[in-house]
Amino acid sequence: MADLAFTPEEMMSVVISRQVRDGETVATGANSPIPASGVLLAQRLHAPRTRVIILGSERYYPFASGKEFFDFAQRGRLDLFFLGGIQIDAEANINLHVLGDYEQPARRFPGAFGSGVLYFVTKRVILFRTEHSRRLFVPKVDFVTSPGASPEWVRRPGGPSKVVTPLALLTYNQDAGRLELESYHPGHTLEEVAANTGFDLALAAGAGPTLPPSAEELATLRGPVLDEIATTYPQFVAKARAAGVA
Amino acid sequence: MLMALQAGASGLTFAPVPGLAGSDLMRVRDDFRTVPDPFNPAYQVAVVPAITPDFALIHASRALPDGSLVLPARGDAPLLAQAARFVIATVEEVLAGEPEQIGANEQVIPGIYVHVVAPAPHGAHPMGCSPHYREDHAAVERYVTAARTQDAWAAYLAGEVTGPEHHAAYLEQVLAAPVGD
Repeated sequence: MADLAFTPEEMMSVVISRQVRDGETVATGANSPIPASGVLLAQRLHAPRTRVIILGSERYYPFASGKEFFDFAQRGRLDLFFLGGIQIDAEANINLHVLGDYEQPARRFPGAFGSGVLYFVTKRVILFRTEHSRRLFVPKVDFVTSPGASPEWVRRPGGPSKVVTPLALLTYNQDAGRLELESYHPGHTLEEVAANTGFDLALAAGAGPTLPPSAEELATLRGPVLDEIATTYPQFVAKARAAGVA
Repeated sequence: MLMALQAGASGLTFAPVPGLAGSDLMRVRDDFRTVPDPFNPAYQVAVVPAITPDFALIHASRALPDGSLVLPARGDAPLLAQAARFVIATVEEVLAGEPEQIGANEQVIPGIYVHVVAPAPHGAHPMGCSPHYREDHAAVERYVTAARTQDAWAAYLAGEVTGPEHHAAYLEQVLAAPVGD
């Protein structure tokens, strides 16, 4: 991958940026510098009217409290949000709680952080992780912190839209209720993505390679966008600058 | 949890919560229930019991003479104070009566919610307390690293939590190393 002129994190930010539609209200969670930089990139390029909320930021957090943010989302005002998962399965169920049995876990993780609500009430949720592996993409999650789909007796205005990793972009097929491969990033192959995914990954219609970051996308990301998130994510920005991609 | 605290703050016994239905949380938490929406029986809705803490421990920037607390804006401490039965506050400083300036990035918890106040300078460490000091990244790193194994965690607790005899000793120890930004 030494011949690539961008880092895996930059590819992810760019892929996320392309998912933002102009005029949307978009929020990124705490500890989410990649989505935050992706959303700010979109705002500077194709989606100037994006309303950006960054949890943990002073400048991009208009609410008086965490509760007000949840009220805002529950009221249906949030178009796009980002969640992670220690496991994600073919049906886009996410696990943020435990590996193994809930009562006798092999590993315990911090928990839902509101994902049990936000996965339902946000119009589109993009899942992201900085790894793409069989331990992440499992046939069935050990614990459903938040389900990908719900029966018709549950009010659910929103749900999963995409999954972004360093290798690929997956898309959630609403009809099939399953994740499918939309594109694989430069420097990677279909076979590599399939080999590192623990469930059968169908190809979405028109699946193919991910368009590499453009010169404009990279320049904007490395310049104004990094400057913008430096106070909220000093360590991420320092690392990104140190990566010094030639 | 915020909805449960809001129910507690409002004197309700439970709160409906959007989402949750169909998650394993509903399976492992037998106090999380699903009930028909009384106004639209086609839907079911998750309900959680109210949280009314016996005590809320809140660290604030300043206490006013009437017990009101001034603290950084954008936190859920006021909701916690509303829901709790008894509020114990620690503060960077207690103001004796000089005219108080509330910053644009600060909020106030009215003294009517606050039962006791104790001065505890640097009491939020290793987290920050604006505008007095910021989070101590190095100290948080030590905590995160220590949390990975039982042995390291025990050593961390003994060294930084149970070890120091009192708050002043703790501060002397942890602030000896230069505080991160």
